Amino acid sequence: MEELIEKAKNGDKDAFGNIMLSLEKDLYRIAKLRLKNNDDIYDAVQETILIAFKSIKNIKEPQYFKTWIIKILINETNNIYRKKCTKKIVSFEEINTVDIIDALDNIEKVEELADFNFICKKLKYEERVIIALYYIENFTDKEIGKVLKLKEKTVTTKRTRAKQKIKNIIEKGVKV
Amino acid sequence: MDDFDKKLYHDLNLEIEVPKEFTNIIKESLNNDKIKKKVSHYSLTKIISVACASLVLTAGIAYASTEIVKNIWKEPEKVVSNNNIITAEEKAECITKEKATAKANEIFKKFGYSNEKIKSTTLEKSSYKTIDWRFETESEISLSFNAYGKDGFWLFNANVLKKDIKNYRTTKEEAEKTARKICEKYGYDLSKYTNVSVKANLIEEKDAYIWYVDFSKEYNGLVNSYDYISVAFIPEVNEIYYFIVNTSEYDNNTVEIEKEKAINTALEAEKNIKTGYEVECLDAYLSIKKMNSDAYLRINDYEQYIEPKNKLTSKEEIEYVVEKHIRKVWNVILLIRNTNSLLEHGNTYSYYVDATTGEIIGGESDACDITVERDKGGKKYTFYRDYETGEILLKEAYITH
Repeated sequence: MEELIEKAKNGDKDAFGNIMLSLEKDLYRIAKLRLKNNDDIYDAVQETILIAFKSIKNIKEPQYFKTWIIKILINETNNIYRKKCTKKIVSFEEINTVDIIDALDNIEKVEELADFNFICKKLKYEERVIIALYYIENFTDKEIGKVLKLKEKTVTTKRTRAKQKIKNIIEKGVKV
Repeated sequence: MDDFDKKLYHDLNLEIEVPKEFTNIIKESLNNDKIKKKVSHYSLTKIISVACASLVLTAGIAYASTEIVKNIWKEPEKVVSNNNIITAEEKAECITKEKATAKANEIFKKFGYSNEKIKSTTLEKSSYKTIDWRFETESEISLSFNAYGKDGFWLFNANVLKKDIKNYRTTKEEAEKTARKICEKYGYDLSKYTNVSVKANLIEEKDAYIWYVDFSKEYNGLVNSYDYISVAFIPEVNEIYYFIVNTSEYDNNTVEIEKEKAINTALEAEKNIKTGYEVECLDAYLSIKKMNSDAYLRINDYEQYIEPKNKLTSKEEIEYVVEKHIRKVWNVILLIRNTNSLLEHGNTYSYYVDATTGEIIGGESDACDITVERDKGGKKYTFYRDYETGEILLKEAYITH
């Protein structure tokens, strides 16, 4: 990876593309935590790639590349999410029936497996990100803190609470 | 790393299908000739037409009478809790294993599982003095109920998910009827459970094969989400996936406090916590909530609230225990802006202001997933998703400053 990063820093698009491809599942998962529509996810990742390639020269510590790219992606998904929320137009009659905004509502219910869909369905956005980064990306609380601009201890607390929440839901079903 | 961590590492890393198009987008993103900003397929053409929604709930406000209102809130008891250990004191208050087993057998029998052999019987503690008896049969039917003898139980039959159930269908209307029949069959009178929520396991209800029907009690249009019967079942064969009876004592207190006063109480509390944060009220409405210590800790020890130092050891921690009350409250949702964090553009805190006494008796952080934006005319609109009801709402923000 570090070799590819060096090449990418020198403007090698293929090298950069290969890095991105090696991270595609991670990128897709992170984007899906916020966005339900694949087109939006594609937009977010496209923007992320463009931004990242432009500024990869500035990376001083290649070992933090993944942290850095995820941070950009989260920013981009947030931007798209916010734009969507303001542009999505709903009349009051529709409010209770139409499923808007949130990625959560197009995802199947998964009742006992604490898998990716489960966390998307049951957790708040910040909790989703923290849990996904910790358990899927193997980030430490410190690294998550860097991505989310939170103190390490705060991440630990939020992660512990989210974990307990998942546990409660799995063990006790709905409405805990 | 505990067992649950291991489960999360395993489950969360299960394969996820990445669309081929996603791979193509990555491959092509840096190829200038091919970069085409994708146009989302959403329809963005509808125009926001937000009618002024007057909350009917406020119609029944009774103004404060001359009668002296007794306070309901008491300072939480600070206790050292260890969820792995059930103390002798706690255990002494639980019903005995024999009594619990008798109750379990009675429930198993009622639901037609009388031939089931109980594989394990455990006392499980989720927090201080919150303990359940849990039974599991050899065929993975599980049953848990409050160990202090409180009514209600949680019965799960995980077996049904292993069967070939994906071809069974029904409609929303029929699902409710079936759930009613199931309740009737097992002797549960639904006449007091007037609020009904029917959900399917898939968004495309025509393809759904598990249906979840919740019957909750209602008081003047307010749903008591702590008092309900929930049935999940497989249609056509009508096999139960779970059956839950959750009971709670509701104080059914009167509304003596005006909405404005409740909002001010919440705003004052929040503004006194920390300076440098923008605070505004987004909404306030009557709701039925369980008393908790969340707001107490937030108001009285914010540092501890944000970064708990209550872990005495890896297993022991300090808990703030409050009396068990379910009350009518003004649920005051505040938007707290902290521009320091990447995700905090939508942080909210909900204060539960007791509708009778005006005291803050609880709260919840991030009860809503929220986005607030101004349109060209400077009017502010707010989208939020209530995590309790799952409802996505669009409201004009209630701006207080």
